[in-house]
Amino acid sequence: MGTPEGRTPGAITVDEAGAERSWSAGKLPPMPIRKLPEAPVAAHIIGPAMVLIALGVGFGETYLWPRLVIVFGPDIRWLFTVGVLVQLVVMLEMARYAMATGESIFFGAARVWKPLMWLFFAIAMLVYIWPGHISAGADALEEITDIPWQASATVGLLFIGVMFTVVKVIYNLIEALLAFLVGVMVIGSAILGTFVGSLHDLGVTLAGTVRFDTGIPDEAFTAAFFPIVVGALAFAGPSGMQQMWYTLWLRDKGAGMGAHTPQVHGLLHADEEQTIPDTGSMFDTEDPEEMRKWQGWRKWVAFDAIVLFFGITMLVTIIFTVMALNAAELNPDARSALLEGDRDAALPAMADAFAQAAGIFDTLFFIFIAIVGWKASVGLFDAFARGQSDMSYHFMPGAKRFKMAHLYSAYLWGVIIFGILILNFGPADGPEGILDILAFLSAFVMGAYCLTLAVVNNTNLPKKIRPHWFLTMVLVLGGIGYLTAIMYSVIKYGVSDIG
Amino acid sequence: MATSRAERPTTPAPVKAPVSTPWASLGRRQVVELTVPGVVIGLLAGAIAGGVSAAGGLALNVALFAGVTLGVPLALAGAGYEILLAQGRVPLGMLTPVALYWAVGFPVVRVLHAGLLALYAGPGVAVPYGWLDFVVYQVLLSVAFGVGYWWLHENFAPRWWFHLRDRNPVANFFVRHQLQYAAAAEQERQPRSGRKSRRPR
Repeated sequence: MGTPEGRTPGAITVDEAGAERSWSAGKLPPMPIRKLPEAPVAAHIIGPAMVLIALGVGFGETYLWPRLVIVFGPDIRWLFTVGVLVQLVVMLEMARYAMATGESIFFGAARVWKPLMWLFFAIAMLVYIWPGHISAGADALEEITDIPWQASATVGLLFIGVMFTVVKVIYNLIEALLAFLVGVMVIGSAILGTFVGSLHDLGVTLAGTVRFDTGIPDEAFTAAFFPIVVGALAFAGPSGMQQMWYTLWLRDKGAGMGAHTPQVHGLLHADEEQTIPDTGSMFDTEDPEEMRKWQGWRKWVAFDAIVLFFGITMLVTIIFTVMALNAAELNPDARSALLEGDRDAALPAMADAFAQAAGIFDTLFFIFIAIVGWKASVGLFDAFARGQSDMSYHFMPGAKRFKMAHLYSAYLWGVIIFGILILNFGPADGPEGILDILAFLSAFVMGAYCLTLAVVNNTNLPKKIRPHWFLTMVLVLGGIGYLTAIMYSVIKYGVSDIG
Repeated sequence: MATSRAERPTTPAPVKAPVSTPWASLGRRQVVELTVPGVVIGLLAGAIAGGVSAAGGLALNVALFAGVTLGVPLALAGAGYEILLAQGRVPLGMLTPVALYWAVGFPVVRVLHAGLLALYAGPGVAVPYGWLDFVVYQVLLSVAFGVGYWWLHENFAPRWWFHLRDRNPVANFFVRHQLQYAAAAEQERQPRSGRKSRRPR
């Protein structure tokens, strides 16, 4: 559903003395009290979860988990269910803050402690400037077209840059493009699955998904596999900073109080950008009518999170696991490549297995993987530029001389030009010497944002809309779990590369 | 403090079935127009399965066979769904009816497709694990197809209806329905400044 960009100022409320009412949170300026927009009446209307799905359903779902199932058997899939359930809670809590305030989680973190926000800024700069994610999709394209992967990746990067420069409202383009790609991904995985899977494989995969009594096999506690199990757990659903960026897409979608903040424009439309408020805003939680609307928004985002995010993530992973099981049965090379953990060999071997099954589906498989890679890149570049420009605009001295569109474009083109240089002349995933650090940081940030989110939602929001203690506990345990797992991997096995 | 953005009309409410659409007034051409979203999604699925097979090295006739025998039945089934929607027999925009429709439609299409493929290339290719296993498996996989269909339909069919609205009363009905929420949101954003209430603690 498109989102019209013409807006009028949101209504404010005043107290008995005629002064503008506000909500104080942390040490930053208070948020004015404004009216909460009416939630969509139809709870099923698709929200920004699609962007998170587009980012989150990637190589974790299509490669890491199928591989683990080949290695340990389908009973290990319960760990995936746990990982996605934690991410589901994170998503709902991210949405709580973004919809209640119209602020990003980065802004929320700054309200708690500004260096915390700068930590996330620095991690994003370190981890997300490397264009490794686009090279995997380009590799798949090379398999079917013989176009060198550097060439297609470079063209892909330039295309993304131009696209986000000429478009008026970037979110609308992201939404339409990713809606199409996610739709193709879901239908494509269904079609692929129907041709190359079997009822038996599907049965054991489904059973393994909900068998919480099977535990973790002893073989998983080895230097070779423990980091992979941790990585697969971290990459169940959105990984790295993707959940944090979700708050920015929610705002641009106009969810909750996000409707009072202008959308991000492309560079060519920077002059049309509306004035960006210094802070988010809060609604009156003592007003039953406002709370009714808030419940409507919670219902809307719950559908987005539970049915779309959780449902589609589980669906695609189940289908890919079924395909991997089938591929391993059909092609011993696929099985050994998956066991050895050689992704570059495993994907072609799986494709060969599918070709044996139906004669034609190796090509289809590669096209599918190329789409998975490219759609992730579209989302990641937008997300990186969106997050960094948001933090820069609000907290970097002198940044408000520029429009948000200028900052967004500076980060976007900066990362694209850097990416093109690296793809053609350097290591796509990052310099060899710091690879371990980058891998560590991308897992570390997930633990960090879980704990940050628990603090933000329990301190920055009015009591009536704070999370239930159980949800806070999930966030805290999730955060501790991510951090403990990655630290254990480093200390016990000396391995931080969990991807 | 300057603010510049008001509440945006984001979504319409779902149409509860059954509803009275202007279906009876439609001519044949108008009915065909309304089936376009379902036909396109069906053909897209066929293209995914069969169209690319040409690039996979199969003979053109085999590639066409694979694509057409899956894409055309899916397109017809998609058209059927659109007609039910236009008649008001299924509610607009809800996931469950779409999933239920394809829980029946998708396996039927796949059985037809596999049957033709079995005649063409042998049963070992079409149904390697036997027919019972095959049918149950297709029913389960239909959920994924239904979700994908619903997703694309929700995102792109409204754009097509908007394009048709001046010459197709059912499309206009759907568009007007979607605009109802916009109107409600417009009313909602009338400023209520000056209203006094307590601080939200």
